[in-house]
Amino acid sequence: MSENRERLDRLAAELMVSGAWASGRLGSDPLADLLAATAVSARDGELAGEEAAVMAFRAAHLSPIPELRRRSMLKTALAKLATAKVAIALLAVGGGGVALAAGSGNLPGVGSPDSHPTGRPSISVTASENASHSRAAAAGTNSAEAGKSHAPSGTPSPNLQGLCTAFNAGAGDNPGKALDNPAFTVLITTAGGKDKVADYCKGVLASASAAHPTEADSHGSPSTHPSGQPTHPSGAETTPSHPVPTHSH
Amino acid sequence: MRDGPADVSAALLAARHGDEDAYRVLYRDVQPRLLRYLRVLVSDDAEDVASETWLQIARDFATFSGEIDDFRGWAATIGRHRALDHLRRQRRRPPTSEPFDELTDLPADHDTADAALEALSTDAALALVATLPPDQAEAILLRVVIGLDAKAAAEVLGKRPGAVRTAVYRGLNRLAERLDARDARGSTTPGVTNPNPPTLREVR
Repeated sequence: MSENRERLDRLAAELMVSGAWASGRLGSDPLADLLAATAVSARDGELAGEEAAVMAFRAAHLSPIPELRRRSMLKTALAKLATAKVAIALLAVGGGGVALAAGSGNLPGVGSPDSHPTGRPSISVTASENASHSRAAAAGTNSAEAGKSHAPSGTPSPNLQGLCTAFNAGAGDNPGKALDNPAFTVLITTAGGKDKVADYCKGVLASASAAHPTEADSHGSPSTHPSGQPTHPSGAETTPSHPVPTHSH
Repeated sequence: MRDGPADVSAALLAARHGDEDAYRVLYRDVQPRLLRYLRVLVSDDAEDVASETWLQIARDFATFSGEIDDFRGWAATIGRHRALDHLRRQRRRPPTSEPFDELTDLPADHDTADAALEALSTDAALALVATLPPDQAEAILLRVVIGLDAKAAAEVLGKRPGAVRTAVYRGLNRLAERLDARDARGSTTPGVTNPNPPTLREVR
């Protein structure tokens, strides 16, 4: 630092500003001292905003979590919507069938209320399928009787009873052809052959209605009619969408 | 402010993962630098502007990437923008009080120089630097106090590194002149070459 007007050349200035912070050497030069004084350690009061700054940091750092929550809530909402759609679809497609199946007691696996809320379509569809089988098969005869015979049953094989009901209903037209339907395979097997189905079913249905006469009666008239009628259209809708119902021709 | 570079660098890394204590280390490193730099820009409002700056730093911290030097430069850039906003807001205020306040707030150059040289306290030194033309004062503080190199300081200021070097060079020479003048005059005459340099408030 000379006494000239220009005390520092550019290089000296550059060195001073780049070195003042690190060196912090005092007393060597008034200008260096001045620069060093600007760059001393934090003093009281300079860090007064620390808590506020950390709180802001915390708030900003935590905010991604609410965002995640929002996102997961959206997912949940979408999942609910999807579930609702499935439920609506089930109601539209299977609900009638379920109602009818409930009426006919032909509810393999759907009977327990716990399994239904999960909305597994296959179960409901199966139910409505069976229901529409029996419904279609029982058309013209007595669907009330179908409901009568099964609904309250604690009997071991409701499927067989339902199949028998369906078989009896369709047998008048063409028993042999009805038994071609794969749906009756179990019935045929259980009965011991196609030709034994009719006799077997007579026994099954007779014992079923004999076992629960009063329940069948009380069940049959009031509830099957209301539930049976509305299911007609939905049963008709359901059947075409099914790959299975080959029995109807 | 004298934490080892490694400590602060590690703190920056940890703070990126949400470590609050690490963020405190960052704050303690950067805040004094920022506050002193802002004091040259907005004088007594530096604390308020620094608070605003830290809010924005916290808010945008997740978007920052870089080393500790980059972080200091980033903080200085945010602080500078907040300071300029602050000055713009001030200018929109009713003009009845402000100009007079500004005038009375401005210390006479020689008084400032005397105070700075007698004690060489940090405040006095900063006050003396603040008497420089704003581009020179800012360039010097970004280099010396914030600790940026010429390139990083130029980015904060939106200038070329060469312009920053020139501003530093001229500002340091002006400070040296004032120091020499103080020595020569024995604190009676203001031997200052530029007794009324434009202040930041007048320029911005």
